[in-house]
Order: sequence, then C-alpha cells, then structure tokens
Amino acid sequence: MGLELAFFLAIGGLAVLFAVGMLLSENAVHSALFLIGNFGCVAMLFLMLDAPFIGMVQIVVYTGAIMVLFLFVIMLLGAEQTTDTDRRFRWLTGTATALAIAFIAAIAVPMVIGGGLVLPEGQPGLPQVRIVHGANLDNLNVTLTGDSLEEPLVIEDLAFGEASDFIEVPAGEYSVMLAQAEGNTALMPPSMSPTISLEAGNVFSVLAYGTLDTNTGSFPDVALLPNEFVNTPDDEGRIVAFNAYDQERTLALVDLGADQRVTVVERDVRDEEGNVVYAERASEEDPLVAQREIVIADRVIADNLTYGGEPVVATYPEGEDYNLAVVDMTNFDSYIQPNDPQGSIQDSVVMRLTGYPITTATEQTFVIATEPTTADAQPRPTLLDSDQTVLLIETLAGFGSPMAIGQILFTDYLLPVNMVGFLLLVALVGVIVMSRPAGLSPEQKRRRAVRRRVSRPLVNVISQQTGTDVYVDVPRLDQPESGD
Amino acid sequence: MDFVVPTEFFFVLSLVLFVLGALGVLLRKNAILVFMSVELMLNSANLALVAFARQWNSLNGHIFVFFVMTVAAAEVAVGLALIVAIFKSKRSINIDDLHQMEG
Repeated sequence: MGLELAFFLAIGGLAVLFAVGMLLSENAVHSALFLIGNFGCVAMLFLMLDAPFIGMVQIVVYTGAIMVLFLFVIMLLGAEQTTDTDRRFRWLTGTATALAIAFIAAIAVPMVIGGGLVLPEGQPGLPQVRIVHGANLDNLNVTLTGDSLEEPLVIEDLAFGEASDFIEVPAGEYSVMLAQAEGNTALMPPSMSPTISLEAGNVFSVLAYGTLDTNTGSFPDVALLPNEFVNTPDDEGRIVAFNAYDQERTLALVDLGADQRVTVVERDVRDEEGNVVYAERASEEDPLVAQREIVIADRVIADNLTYGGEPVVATYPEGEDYNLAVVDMTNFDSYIQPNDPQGSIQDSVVMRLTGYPITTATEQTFVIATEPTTADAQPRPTLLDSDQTVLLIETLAGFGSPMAIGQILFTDYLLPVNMVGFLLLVALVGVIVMSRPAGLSPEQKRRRAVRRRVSRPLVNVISQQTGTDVYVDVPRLDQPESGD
Repeated sequence: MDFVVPTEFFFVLSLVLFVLGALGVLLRKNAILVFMSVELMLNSANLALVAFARQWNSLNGHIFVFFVMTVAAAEVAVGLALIVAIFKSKRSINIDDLHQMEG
C-alpha cells in the first residue's frame, strides 16, 4: 500500500469521523468545531488532488469565514445546548440511518464489484496554430484549407517576421496555400501546396520560408514548428530553432560566453564508446598516435539546423544577456587555420546576437531567415524573434495553481464572476435589512398612538371612565418606512 | 493514466460525507445544526468536483467549486441572519417550533 493511499485513508477516515462527531454532538459549539476539523481534512484532500488553490480557498473561506460566522451566531443566540429529545419521531433516527447505509451500499458495492467506474480520459484540446512569415518575400496571404474546416482559414497581409495569433482549429490534415498580399496571386500551383497535419492537444507554428525563384524552380515551403507549452524545468527557457536561411550549410546556435568569441579546443578523437581513436603512422618507434581534432568549446544550444529540416527544441538556463552566435557547422574545420585556430574560427560565425535574453517559463521560436531585400544586396540572415508570448498559462502555470485558475476566471468566466459578485452584494444588503431592529421606533409608536386615540370613540369613552389613555396593542407585521 | 488513489475512492468518500450531511439535515432539531449539515453536503459535492477535475485534467471543476464556495458563503450569511431574526421574535431555533408556514 503506497504512502499516498495510506494518507488518503487516514485523512478520509478522519473526515468521516469528524462528520459523525458533528452529527452526534449535543453541544452546538462542539459540532461546529468538528465541522472545522472536517473542512481541514477536506482541504488536505484537495491538496492531494492537485488543487492547491481550492485547498487554500477552502481553509480561508470555509473554515476561516463561514465557520467563524457560525460560531458567532451560536454564541450570540446562546444555542449551545440543543434539545433533541423529542418523543414523536424516535423511529426516524433508526430508519434514516438504515436508509443511508443502504444508499451507500447500493452505490459503492456495484462499483467495487464492477472494478471501478468507467471513466473516459480527458479530451485533449483542439490544436492551436499560427502562421509565421519567414520567407524571402513580401507580404503574404496564407490560406489553410482542410476537410475539418467549413471554410478556409485565411490570414491576410502578413509582413515578414510577423506572426499571426494562435487560432484553434479542428485536428486533421490541411493544405497551406501561399499568395502575395498584393493582388492575391498564388505563389505556387494548388497541387504543389504543402500539407500539414495537426494533432489534437498540440500547439504549432506554421512557418513559411524559402523564396520564389522561377529560374531555379523553387517555391516557398512550409515547416511545422512544435510549440510545446508544457512547463520548462526551473530557471530554464525553451528555444525552438529552425534554419530557414542557408540551404547549403548546417547551422548551430551557440552560446559564445562573455568573450563573444568562438572558442575551439583540440582534443583526442573518440569513438562512440569513448575510446581514443588511433591513427597509424608510418614510423617504427611509434606506430600509433592518437588522432586529434579541433572542436568548438562553447556550449551549443541547438545543433544540426539544416535548411528545412526538423526544428530543434532545446532548453537553456535563463539569463539576461547572452552572447549568441549562429555558426556554420558543415564547414567548421575548413575555417581553422593551423597557425591561428582561435582567430580564424571567427569566420565561421554567420550571425551574432549580443545581449539576448532567455526567460524562464517562456518559449522562444528562433527562426533564422533571409531578410527580403529589394536591391541586389547580399541576402542577410535575420532572426525572427516574434515571441515571448506566454500562451496557455494553464499549462505553463501548472494544473490547479492560482495563476491558471485566475487566467481562466477572468477570461472565460468573467460574466459568472461578475454575477457572483453581484450576488454577494445582494446578500450583503439582504443581511443588513434583516438585521434591522425589529419593532417600531418610538416616533412611530407615538404617531400610531395619536392616530388611535383620535379614531376610536369607544376607547375615548373607556379612557374617560378610567382616567387613563388606552392603547391597544395590536400585533401587526412590521411596516416598512412609509415616509410620512 | 492511473492515479495512486483512484477517482472512485474520492467519489465514495464524497458520497459518505454527503449522506452524513443529509442525515444531519433530517435528524437534527437545531436550525444551526441543520445549516451546518447543509454545508457538509456542499463540501462533499466540492470534493467530488475536484476529484473529477483531476481525472479529466480540466480546470472547469475547480472553477465550479470556486463558484459553489462563493454562493455557499452568501447563503450562509443570509441564512444565519434569518435565523437570528427568527430567534429574536420566537426565542427558539428548534425547527419543530418554526412551523408558521405550514398549511
């Protein structure tokens, strides 16, 4: 039996015992205290159920406010000693208890025999997708068509480097059609439109990249970048990197460190098991010599970024001021001059980024793309740094945390929150009205007495006889203030 | 996905607490005790809601519990004010004595 199960049985049993104590206690204050104990146990059960917010609200609101109110009223009314011995309904206790046990048995026994409830898994949410424009083209119109959509989803006039908002679409296969924003001319024939498949519960960025080159017959293409909005490890941010810039070279995203220089070291070549690889040398005394290689010493954040290849997902510790560089890894060795390895290797840097921040609990989509230039200038690499958008707070914030619940409450459930606030206001006003002093104020009593004296001749006769005024005390409901 | 403590356990516990609350409503004669039993029933419903919210990985259960708690708080305030007002006029909160509205 696991620790958690034992804990559940202990706390649950304690909760039931407290509830029974509340029922059987003769003193109302003791009952209230038993109920407080029961609420405390239920709060701990809430914590076991991944509901920290609800657990704390249970303690603060239920035990801290509602039960205190109960205790106040019990003390105010002096109602501690409850008189429950009534002869009339003695049979009720036994019957009710028997029925209660029968009810519990009727539900619990089939459940135990049947091996538990048949509970379906939670439905994963619809996929969310956004379009990112990383192609060497002017503004684009992007159209998503698929069987699951009634009408095609059109994103209009997307500028370079711009990303649309995340949109929820049904899961399925889609074909992406790219068109120039001006004139809406399609960039490729419909038969060549790339298709993407979106699965439920995932978040994607659809990146349009490439160029339209009628000479070489190349069309812009579309890549699906996964955005995994699950929580990152503590103090780390996530980077999704993609190479949309260089078709020939494999790039890598490297953290240069404080010196802002690529650093290389020379080391032995090792094979997969870690053994040193030796090369044969045509020398009699020393036939074997360890092979040496020069490798990059800086930390590589994302490696193997091929053009149009798989996007690389990596996590990296957070920091305000990283000096990053995009380094050409395919020809890495070719940059190294033997006489000045550290200096010459700087030529392998394709792009530098200084002062780059990596924030924890966010995801950054890192696309190296070609900036569209109209002149004949050399195409420059640029970084599409379109987001630190914090999406899907509920997954980033953790299930059941106050952040997640607050996010939902004030977006999806804003109207019910306002209505409940109004309800509390009405309850407040109602309580104040009900707590007004009963009976008439002395002013009203005087006024009524005056009226009574004038309008009742018989009373006048009596008062004449007896010599005192006669006031009739008629039981009547409290009149509201009539204002006269 | 299997939980160490299955959802059915929490459901049965919620059921037991609910039935105990219902017994309290039926059997106790003090109006405040009846009220506290109603709170116990509401609490057991909250427990079931949160257990199923965990099962289905949906925060809607938590939101519903939040609203139930808020409405229960408002209800307790109004109900206790009512009991105090009744006590002022009838000097008793034994529910057997509060039968003015019966036909």
